Amino acid sequence: MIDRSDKTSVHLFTFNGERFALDVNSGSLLNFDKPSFYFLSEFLNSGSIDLARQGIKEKFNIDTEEIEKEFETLVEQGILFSKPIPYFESNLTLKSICLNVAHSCNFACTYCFAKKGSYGDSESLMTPENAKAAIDFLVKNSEGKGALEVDFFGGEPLLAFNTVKKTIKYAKISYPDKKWRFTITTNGSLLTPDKEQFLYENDVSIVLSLDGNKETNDRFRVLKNGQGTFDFVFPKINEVAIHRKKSEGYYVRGTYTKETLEISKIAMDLRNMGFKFISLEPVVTKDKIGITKEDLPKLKMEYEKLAKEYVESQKEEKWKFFHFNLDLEAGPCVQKRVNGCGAGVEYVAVSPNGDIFPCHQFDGIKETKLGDIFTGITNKKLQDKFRRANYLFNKEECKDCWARFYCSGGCLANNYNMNGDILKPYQIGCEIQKMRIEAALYVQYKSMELSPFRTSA
Amino acid sequence: MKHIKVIAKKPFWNIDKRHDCRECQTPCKSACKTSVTIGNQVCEIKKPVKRWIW
Repeated sequence: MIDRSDKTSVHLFTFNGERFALDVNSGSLLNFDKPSFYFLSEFLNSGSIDLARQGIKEKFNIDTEEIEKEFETLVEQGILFSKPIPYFESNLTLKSICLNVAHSCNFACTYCFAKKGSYGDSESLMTPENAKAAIDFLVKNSEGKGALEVDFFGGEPLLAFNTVKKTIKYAKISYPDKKWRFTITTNGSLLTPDKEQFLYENDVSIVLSLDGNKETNDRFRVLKNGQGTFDFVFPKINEVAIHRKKSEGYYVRGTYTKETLEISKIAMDLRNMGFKFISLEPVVTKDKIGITKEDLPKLKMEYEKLAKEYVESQKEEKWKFFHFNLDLEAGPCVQKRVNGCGAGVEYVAVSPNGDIFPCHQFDGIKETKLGDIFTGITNKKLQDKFRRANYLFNKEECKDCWARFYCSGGCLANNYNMNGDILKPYQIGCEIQKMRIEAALYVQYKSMELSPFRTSA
Repeated sequence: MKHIKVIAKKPFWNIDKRHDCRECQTPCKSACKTSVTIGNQVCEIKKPVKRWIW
């Protein structure tokens, strides 16, 4: 009979009336009818097979033999109550930098973690020389890595477009053997057809910031004089989306807050504007617009609504909502899943003057400075702390969490900013992660229902 | 099976010799920027993409 030796290795949940189990260690996803779901719930809760049998007889008036056989088969095949795959702490090596080319912004979005672009310091732009030195630093410290990543960030990185352009050319010409992956995160206001053409031709992916329709966007995304930015940026962002219609080279990314929790409407509004690649992320702040525990039930309902509408709308035209991207066949390996985002070791941020921070969200927090691009990493002790924090199982609260192989232990910057400790998970963020994973699993199931040959029996 | 449908069968066991190559996208290069979304990514070996946001 099935062994319930590790109760935490199975996560049972319902979503939009469907019943699921996620086998945590193998990633297997199962969908149940009512009696089988009830049986497994009872078994997990009580630990007694007899109580589960008795309960199912009383509730459904059926014999459990058939259901038990199905469970036994799944356990035998390692699909349910599976044992963990062997994994270990990876030896992380630098491969990715965020170039904060502009400590300056032409917007003054009220929720901005970068303190309206300046990162709490005087405004500055990165010179092409510093950017080139950052590329040299990346190449020098990434031995053995084939693909290297550079993200142009700010503030508003297009304020330093000359630096962006020169950096891309320099990287490609100076290090032609490397596979370069460039991204840029912009508010879109300074985009021109020429700039977009350059970015497109150089395979630069774009993250375009837009929070939704005019009313939603202009609530927080404003100019320095308080004026809303939607009318200003929408035509430019739209032009990029049209230009890149068939590629996967852009995302329209919005931020939602306590005051704009209606993410199903926001996402559908963006989709109805014609965007095909959409992402919405919660603001992370201690300010009054930050998400709190009280907001979670509403958010859960919003995810359920959005997931349903998303599946329905796919029948008309395909589009992507980033949280629902969950590839059950080609997802990351388990090693990747247990070794975090790489902040501080595999991934670092460089400020305009060349200072190195563990990631873009740490830029400007002086006590987290790791070194600079000219002398390298000097604060080895802090880097070691980040190295340890990247490994999922070094975070006590993550060890038994069912979502651990999807969030990989969460965002170290969020942990630091909300709890003052990179090893202490930001609980609201954890709860939101769990919602979005359940939603994504539901979406996968529904999508496969539409293509039944992809399911296995 | 009559009562249970298998939607995904042990996807984490789908590993090859490139296991731990870490050639895939760094999470913060994606559309998130403020959370870790490794679960939303793809394996670069199994599904290479030209432009790296997916």
